[in-house]
Amino acid sequence: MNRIWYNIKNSFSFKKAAAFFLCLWVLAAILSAGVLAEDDSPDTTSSSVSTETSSRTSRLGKSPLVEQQNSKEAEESRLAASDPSTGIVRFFKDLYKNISKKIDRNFISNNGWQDLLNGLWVTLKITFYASILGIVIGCFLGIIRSIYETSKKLKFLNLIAKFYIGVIRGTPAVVQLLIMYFVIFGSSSNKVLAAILTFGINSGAYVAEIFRSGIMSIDSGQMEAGRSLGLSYGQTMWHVILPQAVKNVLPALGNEFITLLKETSIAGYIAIEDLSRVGDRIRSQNYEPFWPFIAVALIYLILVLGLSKLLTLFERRLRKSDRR
Amino acid sequence: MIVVKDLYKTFDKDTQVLKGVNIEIKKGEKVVVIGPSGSGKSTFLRCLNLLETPTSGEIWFEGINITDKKIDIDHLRRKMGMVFQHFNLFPHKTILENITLAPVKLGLMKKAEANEKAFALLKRVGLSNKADAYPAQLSGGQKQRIAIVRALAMEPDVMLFDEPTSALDPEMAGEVLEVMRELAEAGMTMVVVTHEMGFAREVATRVLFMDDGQIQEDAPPKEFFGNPKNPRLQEFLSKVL
Repeated sequence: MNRIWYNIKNSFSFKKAAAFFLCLWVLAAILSAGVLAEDDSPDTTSSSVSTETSSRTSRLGKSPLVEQQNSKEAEESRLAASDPSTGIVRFFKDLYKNISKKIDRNFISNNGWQDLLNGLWVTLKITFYASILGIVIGCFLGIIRSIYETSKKLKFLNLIAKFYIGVIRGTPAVVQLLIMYFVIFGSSSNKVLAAILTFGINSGAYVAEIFRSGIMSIDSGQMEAGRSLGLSYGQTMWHVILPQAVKNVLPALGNEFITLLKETSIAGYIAIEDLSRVGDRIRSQNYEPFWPFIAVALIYLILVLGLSKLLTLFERRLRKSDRR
Repeated sequence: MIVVKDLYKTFDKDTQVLKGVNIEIKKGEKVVVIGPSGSGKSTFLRCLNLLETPTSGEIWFEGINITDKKIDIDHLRRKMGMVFQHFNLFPHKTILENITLAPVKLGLMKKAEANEKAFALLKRVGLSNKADAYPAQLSGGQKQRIAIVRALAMEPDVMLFDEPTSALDPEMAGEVLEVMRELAEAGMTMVVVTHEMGFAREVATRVLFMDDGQIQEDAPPKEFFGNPKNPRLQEFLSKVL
């Protein structure tokens, strides 16, 4: 049993896992596109009978029987019928045609791809600035909290920090966003700024606890060694304690950033055109939920996979002092 | 050089560790402090550079009362090197960075100058080939020698050793004691808390016996080991020797 687990653990690779999930996704997309193609293709709107027959027969892999030959639309299907390819080849040809039609309708002809890119840019912008704000707030509060926990100094600041963390962690981010935009910003000014502040403040509370645990995980002898050399508290904190603490909490910190990135999808609540919101808008244009949402999900997935890869590399770099 | 007057230290209101320590240490002296566990010898040493804040009493270092609240203790600590039982090297920095961090960050030396000094010191303890290694790659004895070098890089006037060999096996302890012996011969003022009786006998100019938060005996090693007066010390020596 252990051996099997050991094999699985060792054969696991980031690339394989990513490829596996991507394949799964694309397969699901193709299959459902194939299913949808039957009744939803745009050129079946008027001559539904004939094309439906042809596509159904093609799905069954038989030669198509053309029955209606009078109408103009039937001409098309006759052309299709004269197509010499049969069976599985035909299936994939139809599939390809249908998929490209859907992609064109959802992402190309309505400039959906541009909207998605804009949405992606907004999402990235919010995430980037919010995570910086979160780190700054979190680092600051984490240091205050850890100073209090180890030396009982900064009692008042610690109380404020605890209150802040309690309130932020105790309320949903959506509610915080709504309060920030409608109450504090008076629903007038910069929406993106409101989102950045909300997510930054929200993330800061979580990062604070991550940093606190990181700082407190460092042996007190490190601080003593720094101080005994004549370094000040701040210098020791910056050059000795924090680098080690950050190294220790990097996995937790990465987790927090991934959560933050995905949490920005609620920015649509205050009508920010972020990635998720754009996806929803494309859905509402065509009433075809599958394509826009799958595309949005894929983009998030790629972002998160990329981010975690980046964090792994960073972690490895910081871990080089652990080599023996 | 160091004068301690009526030093008291209390932990958690009711645990009295130091109960009135008085001592004067002159420049160039090598003072070894021995005593049973819990006698307050480590606390005494840590009070000397204010890693522990004394509850009451005065400590004078080079003519300055360092227990005075207005004193910039960071500045004074530069002149007092300290070596710990558990080395406390900075694990995320290379050996060279460990040694040069404080002198460079405090603006005492330029980086190149600090590196040069670090290499000279490393050569002295026979570890110049380890400059780019990380602490995790060294043995305990090597780590402690690096810790000594790190303290020496600040060019201190006095070196405080807090049980520097207690976490080492006898062979590694020997390496470290050898470095300390050379340091003593070079004229460094040293205060050493240790259980190494051999070191006390051979290197010390004065040996203190601490028990129950007070200095019970203060004598040159010959007299200390040959003709101990305090009955508690006689008992202690009969057990350890």
